[in-house]
Order: sequence, then structure tokens, then C-alpha cells
Amino acid sequence: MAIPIYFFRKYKTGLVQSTLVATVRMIVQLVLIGLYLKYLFQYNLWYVNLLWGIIMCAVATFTCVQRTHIRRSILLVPVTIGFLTTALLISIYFLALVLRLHESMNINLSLDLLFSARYFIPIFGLLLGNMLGVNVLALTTYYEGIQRERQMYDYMLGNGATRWEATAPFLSAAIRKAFIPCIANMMVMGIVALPGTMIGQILGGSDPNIAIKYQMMIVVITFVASIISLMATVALANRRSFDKYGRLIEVFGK
Amino acid sequence: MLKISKVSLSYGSKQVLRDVSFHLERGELGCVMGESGCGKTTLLRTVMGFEEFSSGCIEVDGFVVSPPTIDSLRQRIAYLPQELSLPSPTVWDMVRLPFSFKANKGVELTEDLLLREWSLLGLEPRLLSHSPNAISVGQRQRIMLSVCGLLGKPLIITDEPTSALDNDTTLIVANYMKMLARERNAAVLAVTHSHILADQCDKTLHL
Repeated sequence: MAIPIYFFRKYKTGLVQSTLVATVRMIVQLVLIGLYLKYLFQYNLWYVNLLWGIIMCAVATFTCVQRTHIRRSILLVPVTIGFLTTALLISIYFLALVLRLHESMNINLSLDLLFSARYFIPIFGLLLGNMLGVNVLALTTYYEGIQRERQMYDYMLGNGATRWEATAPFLSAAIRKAFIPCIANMMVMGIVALPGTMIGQILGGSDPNIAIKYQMMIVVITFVASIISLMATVALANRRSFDKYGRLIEVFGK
Repeated sequence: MLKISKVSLSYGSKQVLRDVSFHLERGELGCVMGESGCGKTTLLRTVMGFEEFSSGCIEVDGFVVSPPTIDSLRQRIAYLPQELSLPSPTVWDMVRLPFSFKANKGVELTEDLLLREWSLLGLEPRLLSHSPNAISVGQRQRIMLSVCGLLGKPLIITDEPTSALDNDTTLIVANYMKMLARERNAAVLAVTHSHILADQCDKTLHL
């Protein structure tokens, strides 16, 4: 870390302190999580794992609201619902219907299996991480767009557009901005960038072909979860973002 | 068609509109005039439901401006804000936008119909494939006015449609707006500083 800090200081970027704080936080958090996960995996109780998933979701929600700078009263509930329902549904779908854990283990499908620490926590975390990045970028672009192009928004409403029709171009721009990096990443996956899940599996001793299959499935579910969570969040947040005349209220602030 | 009765509006302690009354019937061309900052645009935005008035009443085609009726009311209006700029790839895309709304699904738009309107407004057909950024503000104003004409709504509201035009072109636009009122039976209301346009109007509201 001395090298980046040297350049940050040399070019007076103002990033030295935040880099040091972030590094210390990362170490402390990961050590604590490591300790926690050890017990989580050891006891492996489905309701404790689910509770941990909900805590992860709460942290992701607060981080999302904080980074977008959109008022909590508007975004907190929509993001919570969007993240939690999407991550739960996609995790369950992936574990029960795609991986078919119960069939490969020759046991009955149960809550213990669906919410087992070994499968549920990593998948749930992976989904939340991707949804967080996409939602922050898309929600910021969406609301900034409507605010900046208010005349265009008014033009559409004033010529008979429904609120959904009038917000559609802004949502389209937000989706493009958030998903173009994901698509670009997919384009070069395996050639320029070797993805994390695959590397982790290979380093852990898995057959590369199995690792590639997992990677493909992970890419697809994170992509799908990101768009579903965004659509759910926007649909719910729209109800709180506009007044009775369809005008965007003051969304940015605390 | 449009009835504005004793409308007042304040921003905090600043009174922008005080007891404003005006009415406009179908077949009439009206304008709102006054010094900059006197509330002309605010009045138009109030009719559209974009600004809330503190007292009085506004009716459009029998619909009172209020939250439950605002969607129905806006479906009866063609609205052109001042110096509108839409991020469309071509002028044709820019023109088509309001025709894609569910409320305007039954309204026909073809190149022929559009070019017929353009010929009345002194616009050249070649502009159709241009980027909206590559045309002048005055051309854009006339193009968007032609859209208002084609939407066929009973009330047309425009904000300074001639602000970027020379006198001759302003007269062309004024005659076009008069035609919309007389021949297509619309009520046409414009905010303007132009006396050329005001001279063609049946009614003028001075703020």
C-alpha cells in the first residue's frame, strides 16, 4: 500500500487519509468477519444464517442510500425490499433449481440445506455486492437526470405522458450507465480478466471446467439479480419521489 | 376551454400572481405579456399543474386543475416549454416522442403530415434527418410548434415560441398559430414579448 499512498501524496489527491482508514477498516472487518464466519459455519443453523443474511442486506441498503445521497425517507424502504426479496429469491432459485443441491447430496430439500452457511452466505453476499454497485450508479443517474432535464420531463408530462412514460428515458439512461460496465466485463471474461469465483475455485483445487461452469452461473444470476432489484427499487421509490402533480420532489439530502 | 379565475400564487413572501383572471375559447388565439420575471411562465406552468396556486381556480375543458384530474387535463393539452432541447439522435426522433405516449396513440404522424406543417412554418424537409444539436433554436421552436399542431389537442400552450425568430419568421409563426385556432378549432395560448405575435391575438393578458 506504500506505493499508491506515495502517488496519492505526491499528486495531492486528498486520498491518503481515506486510503489509510479504508485499509485499516478492511483488515479489522475481515478479521472480525473471519471469526464470526468460523462459528457460523461451525454451528450452521439455518435461522442464524438467514439472520446474518438480513444483517448483510441492511448494511448493503444503508451503504446504497449513503452513496446515492438520496433522502433516506425515499430510498430506505424500497432498497431494503428490492435487495432482500431479490437476493432471497435468486439465492433460493440458484441453490434449489440450478445447483439442485438436494439431488447431488441425495437428501430432501430443507431449510437447513437452502440456508446452509457454506452455500447461502457466499451466494447471498455475491448478489448483494453486485446489486449494490448497480443500484448506486443507476439510482444516482436516474434522479440526477430527471432533476437536470426537468424541462424535458415536464414536456413529456405536459403532452399526456403517464409518470412511467415520462420517467422511462431517464430509467433507460440509468440502466445503460449501470449495465454497460457489466456487459463490457462479460465481453472480456476469461480473456482479459479471470473472474474471482473461478480463480477461488481453481486455487481451492477444483477442476477448471467445474470452476468455469460455476463462474458462468454466477455471472448470470448476478446480472439477473441486479436488474430485478433495480426495477423493484425504482418502482417502489417512484411512489415516494413525486408529488400529487407528478413533480419530482427534493430527493437529494439526508 | 381555459378559464383562469382569480388565481394567486406566492413563493414564500414573494407574491408572483395576484388575482389573475383570463379565459380563452376554442378558435381563439391568446397571449400573455409582461416584463421579464412578472410570472408569465409561472402562469402557464400553473395551468399545467407544475406550480401550485394558493387561491383561485383553473379549468381546462371542464377539468379543474387538481391532483385527481391532472392526468386527464394534461391529455387535453399540447405543451411547448421555452427553448426545449431533447436528447434525441435526429429531429424525426424528437418529433415522434409525444406520439409514442399511450394518451396520443390514436394521433397519426407521418412524414407527409409533418412536412405539410413545416411548409406552413418555413421549414425545410432536409432538417428531418439532422441532429437536434445541429439546428438553430428558432428552427427547433418551429419544429416543436408543428408537433403541437399535429397532436390535435383542444388547448395548445406555448412559452415564447418566437423568442429566437426574426420579425418575418415571427409573423409566419403567428399566422400558423392563428390557423391552429381558426381552422383546427384549438384554443392557443402563448407567452410572448413579441408585439408582432400579440397583434395577431384575439385576447391579451397583461401581467
